[in-house]
This record gives sequence, C-alpha cells and structure tokens, in this order.
Amino acid sequence: MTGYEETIRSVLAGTVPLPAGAGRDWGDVLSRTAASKRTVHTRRLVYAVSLAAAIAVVLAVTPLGAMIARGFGDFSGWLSGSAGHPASSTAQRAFAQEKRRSWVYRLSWPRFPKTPTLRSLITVTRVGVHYELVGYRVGDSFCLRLVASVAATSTHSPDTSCAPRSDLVAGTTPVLPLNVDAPIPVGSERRWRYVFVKGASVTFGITSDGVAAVHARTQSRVLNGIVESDSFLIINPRAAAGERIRSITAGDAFGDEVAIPFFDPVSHWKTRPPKGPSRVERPVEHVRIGWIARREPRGVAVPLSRFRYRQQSLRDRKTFARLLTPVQGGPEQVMVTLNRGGDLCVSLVLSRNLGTGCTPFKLLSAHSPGPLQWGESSDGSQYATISGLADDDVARITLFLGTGERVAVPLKDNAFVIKASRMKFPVRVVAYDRDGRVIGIDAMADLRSRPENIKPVKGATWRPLFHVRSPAGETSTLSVARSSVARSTAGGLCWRVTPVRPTTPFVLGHGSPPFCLDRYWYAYQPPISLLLDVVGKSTFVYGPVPPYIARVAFHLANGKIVSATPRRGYVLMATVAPTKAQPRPVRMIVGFDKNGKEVGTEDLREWVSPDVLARQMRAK
Amino acid sequence: MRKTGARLEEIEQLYRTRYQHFVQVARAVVGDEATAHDAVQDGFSQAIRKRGSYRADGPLEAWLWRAVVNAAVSFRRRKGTFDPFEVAPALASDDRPAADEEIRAWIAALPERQRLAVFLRYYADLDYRAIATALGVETGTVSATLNAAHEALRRSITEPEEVSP
Repeated sequence: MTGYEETIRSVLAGTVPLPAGAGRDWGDVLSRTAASKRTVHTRRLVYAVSLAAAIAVVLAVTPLGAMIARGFGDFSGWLSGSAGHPASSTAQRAFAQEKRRSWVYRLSWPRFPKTPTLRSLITVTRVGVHYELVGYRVGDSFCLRLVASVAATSTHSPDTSCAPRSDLVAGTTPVLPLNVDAPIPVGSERRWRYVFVKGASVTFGITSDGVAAVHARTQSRVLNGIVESDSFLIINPRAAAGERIRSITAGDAFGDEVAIPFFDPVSHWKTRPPKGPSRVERPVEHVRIGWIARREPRGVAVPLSRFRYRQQSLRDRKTFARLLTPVQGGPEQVMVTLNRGGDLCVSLVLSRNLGTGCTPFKLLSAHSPGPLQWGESSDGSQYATISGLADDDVARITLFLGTGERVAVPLKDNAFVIKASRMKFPVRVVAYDRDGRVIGIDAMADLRSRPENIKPVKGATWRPLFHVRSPAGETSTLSVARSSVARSTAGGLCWRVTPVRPTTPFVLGHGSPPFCLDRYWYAYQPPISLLLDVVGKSTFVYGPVPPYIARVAFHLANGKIVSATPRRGYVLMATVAPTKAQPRPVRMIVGFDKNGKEVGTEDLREWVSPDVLARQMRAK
Repeated sequence: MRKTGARLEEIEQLYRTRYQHFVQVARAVVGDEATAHDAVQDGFSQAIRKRGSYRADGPLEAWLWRAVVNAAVSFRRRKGTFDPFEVAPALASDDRPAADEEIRAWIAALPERQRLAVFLRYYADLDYRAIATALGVETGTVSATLNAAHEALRRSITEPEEVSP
C-alpha cells in the first residue's frame, strides 16, 4: 500500500468512526419491502389512500411510472444541472473559441441568457482514437457534444446533438439516444486501385439516474456502452461497411433490462399515415409577409458585408438580412435574406448555418404555394429541427406527430422553429388562421432518402403495372423493376413511366430514366404526392403511394371522380391536358385507407402546368 | 448468464455486519446521516425485492453496495443540486491535525464517482472488482479513478510545501 493510500484510510477511519449499531433496523427494511410491494409507503400512512391511488395510476398508465417502477430513476441529474462535472478550462476555452469563429454565432450569442457551461461526461481512448463527450444546456435544449481525436493533429469535427427538455421531463424511456451510428473516419487503406475509408462509429445519449448499463447489438456483435455521468457512449471501433446498430438495451443496478426505442432510418420506416387535418379549409390566395416586404428591422440585423464572399453575381447580392429568434433564449434561429434578384432565402441557424432555401419573393406572392415556407434539418440522427416562415394570415401552427400528439409551434415575426423526435414521424405541420380554419398543411419531406443513389439491378426485368389510355388517345405504361441498393436499404423498387403519343413512338416524361425509391421513402412523404405530366393532349398523374393507401380518388375539373386502386404501391391515371378554358384538369387527389377513411389529400386547385409556369417566369 | 438469486438470510447477514459502513458511504453521497440511513434502508429494500435477479458472477456484497449507492444517488438527486462541500461537515473532526483537514476537504471536493470510489476502497475495504460492480463501471475505470484521486491528493499535499520557504 502506498503512503497516500494509508493516509486516506487513516483519515477516513478517524473522521467517520463507526457508531455502535444505532439506527440499524432490519424490521424496517422488511416493512419497506412489503410496503413497496403494495405500492404504499408505511412511513407515510397519513397519505396512504390518495398517494397509493396516485402511484398506482402513474405506475399503471404512464411510461414514466413504469420507468420509475423498474428502478431506472428519472433525468433529475440533467434537469438539475448536476450531470457530470465541470469541464476543464481548456475544453471550455476551445468551445468558446470555436463559437467565436462563427459570425452568425457572434451575432446571436449575446441574446442567449448565458454562455453554456460545459459539463465533462465521458473521456475514453479506444483503438487509437480519443473520445471526449461533454454536455451543456442552451435554453430548453440539452446538448451532447462528442469530439473524437484520431491523433494530436487530427480532430474530427464535433458531433453535437440536442434533446428538448420536454422529452427529459416526460421520461418515457430511461435512455434518450441522441446520435446513433455516427461515423468517425479514422483513416484509409488502399486496396488494388480503390481507397477505402476505415471508420469507427459512435452512439451516444442521455441516461436517467438509475441506468447502470447500456448495450447495443449490431448484425454481428454486441457492443457494451460506457455509462457515466448520466450519459452513455457506445463505440464500434472497427465498424464494418453496412454494420449498424439494430437494438439498444438499458439495464438498471439489479440487472433488469429494457429495450430502448430509437430511430433507425432503415428498419424504422413507418406505414402509419400522418395524423391531423388533411384538407385545407381556406386556401390562401396570395402569400404575404408584410414586414419583410416593407424591410422592417425585426430581430437582429445581419451585416450585409458578411455575405460578400458568397456573392456569385450582382443578382445574388443581399439587400436585406435579419436573424429571428422564434423561441426566446433558444439556440435555434431563422435567418431571412432578400437579394437583388428578389429571392427570399430562409435558413435555419444553430450556431452555424444549416442550409438555405430560396424562393423568388414575387413568385411566392403571385403563385400562392401555401402559407408555409419551411425545411427540416437533422440534429444528430434522432431529432429533426423543423423551421421556416409562415404567411401573415397564419395565427398559429400545430405540429401533428405520428403518435397522435399535438404540439404548439412557437411563432414570432412569421418565423417558427420546433424540434421533433424522428421516432414520432411522420409529422404534419398545420397552419390555422385567426378563425381557426386550416389554411396550410405540409408533411415532412424526406431528406435522408437519396433515391438518386439507387439504381435498377443490372438487366432488370421491367414489369408493367398499369397501361392506361387517355381520352385523347395517348397511352402510358408504368413499370417497376427491382432496385440494386446496399443491403441495408434493400427492398426498394424502381419505376418508370413511358407515355407514348399515338402518332410517333416518342417516349418522354418524368419516369424516364427510372426513378428509384428505398423502403423508408414512405416514412416521410405526404400520403399523396403524385406527379403530373402533360403529354400532347393528355395529362398523366402517377407515382408511388404509401402501403396504407388502399384507394385513390381523382376529382376532375368536369366534376367526375375517377378511382384507382394502387398496385404494388403505385397508381397511374390519365385525363385530358390543361386548356385555356380549363387550366387545371385535376382539382384534388384523395387517398383512403382500407377502411375507407380519408388519410391524405393533394390539393391541385392552385396547380400550374410546367409550361404555363415557365411562361410566367419568363414574363417576370 | 444464469440467474441464481440471493438468499434473504445472506442479505440480512451483510446488513447486520456492515450497516455502519453502508450508512457512512451513503453519507458521503447525501450529506447527512438521517438521509443516509433512509438510503440504506431503501437500497436493501430494493435489493430484497430484486434478489431474484442477482447473478452469482460477483460477490453479493458488491451487488448490495450497488443497490445502496444507487439509492443514495437517487436521494441526493431528489434533494436537488448537490454541493460537494456539504459533505465536509460530515467529515469534520476537532482533534485531527491540519494535514488531515486538507485531506478531508480534498475528499469532499472530489467528483461524486471518485469520492465514492475512495470511500468504497479505503473505508468499506472493497477490492477493485467489487467497487466496479458497486459503481456499475469497468474495473479499469476504478483503477483509473483511484489513480486520478491519488494524483490529486499528491498534488494537494505537496504543492503547498514547494512554495513554502
């Protein structure tokens, strides 16, 4: 034993002497055990009846109750700010410096209540890679940040993922994974003439107080997580190509284990339809965002000089830029800009710009694409941040989650932002006017599926599903073929449409070349989102529909309703082409499930044929 | 792994012989003896209810320590934000030399896991494997934790001497 050990032992022995057994009460232990079994605490008999009833209800009904009953505790460590211990001053300085390098952050940071204090959670080295997991809180978000350093000179850019406070308070699961299978490139190797990137993958998240172990299972192995400071980190130091986590379990101190739900983009694809209203009650004729049109100085001014390095042309030069904070004190902000060309650009800013979408402002007003201009950004693998701009007519916005929950979306200066768990997808964003009428609906678009990377198998056999003839005599065939995709996304189909004019065997249309989908495409798409092609004197409406759609009804301009039954998840319908007298031959498409319940609509009353739209844009 | 369960008599035996150690270690977490007693009682109560899940791949005592440590941590969290110096009075003593006071202050200021590891090692006399079971960590982590604690102690004791004339 070293001198230090002896010193510690002697100090502890001297300062915390053992009393002579006072307080020892085995009978009390047994009565607590018995009382606990009856869900009544003997020491609080005065509250017995009401408390027992309340506890019984909580334990029986809520997931939180189930979690407490299983001994997993709650997230009070995080909620009280005591998870982990203060990070080193070096780490805190590096964090601050990194933030200061971002000009967007510099602009917005003073508006936050205080600089986040990093809490050191887990530090470990595995197979030459040093991992440091820290946590911090900003507004109502609890964030984890993982820095992986392959060598002293090579640091992987930090992975930051946040969970909303409401998910910790709800406590429906003892572990909240924030990022699953995040890749960490650790080098490369050359084989023949190809270079393969070698990578580790990491999974990390927040745990409740009573979680003692977290394990994950991939296709080929079990990974034991490090559980410390109310957080966990699972490292797969040599992740094979395609290897991914299939399940996560958490254990308490007594060896009880529960499965942890998490979003897996491959296996978690849903066939449930989005919840909430599916029909617009009052279409908005002209989208208006008055304060932007008037260039009012709302939010924080963004110096226009900041954009100089990006300006490709005079048209792109910014004339107006503001940074808006829909949630006071929150980390997410929305930046709106106008350029000389008249484009309105909307960006989500989360300490850095997470992507920008632009629409010509005049076109926005003229063609009324709906009251919401919005987008979605990944926040780790488990949460999505939904943000955008709403029309002046929008009085409130509600997010309808796939679980049936409704969440009020913060809206200020026409900007909105909200974080949603991908586990609860698909989601529907619904805008209401002051009279409570639905004036806009949008469903989450899929940013994860990348159909362009999927191809038909070599020498694929194209099997025709539909062959239709329009009233004008033109025909179209929708065919499908098996797709050649990575094993992890197997199961997708490719499809193509070959419209044929009767006079010439000329083939054209969106479906050629083939368009391929993977299995989880349906998880994000609106139930009805079909394509329209105008070919000669015919209009063809076609595309994939989710598996839960049993019938599709097409409401035509002449008042007729044409029904189609999907085959292998596709529909194809033919009608007449738009004319000056009747520019919109199809007015509405409605999807029904097998019980005949309406589960989705696509409103085409504002649809403009591509030819007409091109003419209008040229005129402007 | 096969579950063997723990016998009630074995749990009672350990409770009776080691009760004071359990209370004093719990006190290092929660700060006062009354709450520490509650934590020990609750920890054992939980252990009895879950004794069927005890796996005989480690000593029963370590498993019980884990139950008590968990209960203590839960009690402390329910109290709210923890001030590590709250523990200092629990360690105070009037008739100890000044160097011992420094060590007590140093122990009180340790992060919770390190403090628990120190108590379990030098007060409860557990070996590294048992401490690992009690804290729910790998044995290597216990070793690293205690090494870090020793290093911090070495610095806290030697640094003042270096600056003195």
